[in-house]
Amino acid sequence: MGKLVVTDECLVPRRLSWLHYRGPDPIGFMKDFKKTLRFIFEVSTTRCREKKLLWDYTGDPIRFYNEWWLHKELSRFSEMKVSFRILGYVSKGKKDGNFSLEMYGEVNHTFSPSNWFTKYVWLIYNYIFYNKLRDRYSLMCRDYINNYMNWVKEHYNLKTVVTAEDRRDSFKEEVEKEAPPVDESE
Amino acid sequence: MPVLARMKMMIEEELYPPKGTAKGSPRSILTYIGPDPGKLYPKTREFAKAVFNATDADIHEEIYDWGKGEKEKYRVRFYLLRDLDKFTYYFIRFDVKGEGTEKSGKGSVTIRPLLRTEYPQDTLWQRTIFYEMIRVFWHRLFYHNRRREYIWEGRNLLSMLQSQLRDYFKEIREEHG
Repeated sequence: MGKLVVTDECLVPRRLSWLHYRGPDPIGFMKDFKKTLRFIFEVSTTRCREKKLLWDYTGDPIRFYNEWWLHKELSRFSEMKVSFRILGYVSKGKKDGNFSLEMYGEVNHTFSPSNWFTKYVWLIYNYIFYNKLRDRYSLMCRDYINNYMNWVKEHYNLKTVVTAEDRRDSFKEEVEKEAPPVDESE
Repeated sequence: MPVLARMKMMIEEELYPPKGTAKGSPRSILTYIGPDPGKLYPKTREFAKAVFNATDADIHEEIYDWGKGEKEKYRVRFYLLRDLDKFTYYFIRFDVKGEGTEKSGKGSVTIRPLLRTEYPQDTLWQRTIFYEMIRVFWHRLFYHNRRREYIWEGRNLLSMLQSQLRDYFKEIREEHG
């Protein structure tokens, strides 16, 4: 019997996310790319795969194109797939240039029923319970992609969103400033 | 968030009233000329989150284009998806552009707000004529007014957001004297 595959795109209602950068060191974020993916997406090295790397060193600027795939198992039935495509130029002399990073994420839910009965049981289970989980997994996938984008922005010191930790720190500083001095003699 | 369904019926409504004969969909554009236009993007995002009571997960940055150098130039497009109930959500597109240095520059914030309602049509029952009759009846009788309320509420929130942004424009200019 065939298998049932339900695919949810993570960045709905849009399909992709793009990050374009122009400035110094456009290949800086690609160093230890696999390591970064491992830490941000919380996957093992075997789950990330470099699909394509094209590097044209002959001219000036140097042109590069890179493709990565990442798989992450979320449950027995669900798996997250994220793809990255990077296209950029870097000048040989100044070492500046630009790159475009395209990101796409999807969550696949696969079920291989052995007979028609299990197929309908799964469909009902999916309709009643698993839909909520699907929703949560999509959100999770979107969060991972956003985290990665924020990491790249932080790497280049671009304007990013203030994180909750930053807010906590600034709040702590404000409280400490406003707090009355402690009288040590008491 | 959009409804999870393979097939769905979508009803889309502009939050701003139509422009009459003018071309293009209605949107509001706030233009800024002054110092440090790079600050516009993080602040717009923060205000949008605060006004619409949204989280980071409700925001999708589609395009983030940033050029570094003596003169910073950027263009960011992000969407805010704010759930209102099981079927309806605000779908607001923000285009933030800026160009300049810490001393002078210019920028703009373009807002295109939509209200979207999605009815799933996946199961056999949802595709029957009886379901459709009940759905239309319910929509006409109850949900139509609810959607009108959402539109008015959205307009209020948008005007609040715009006034906050205008105040912030002033604030940056005063900061830099």
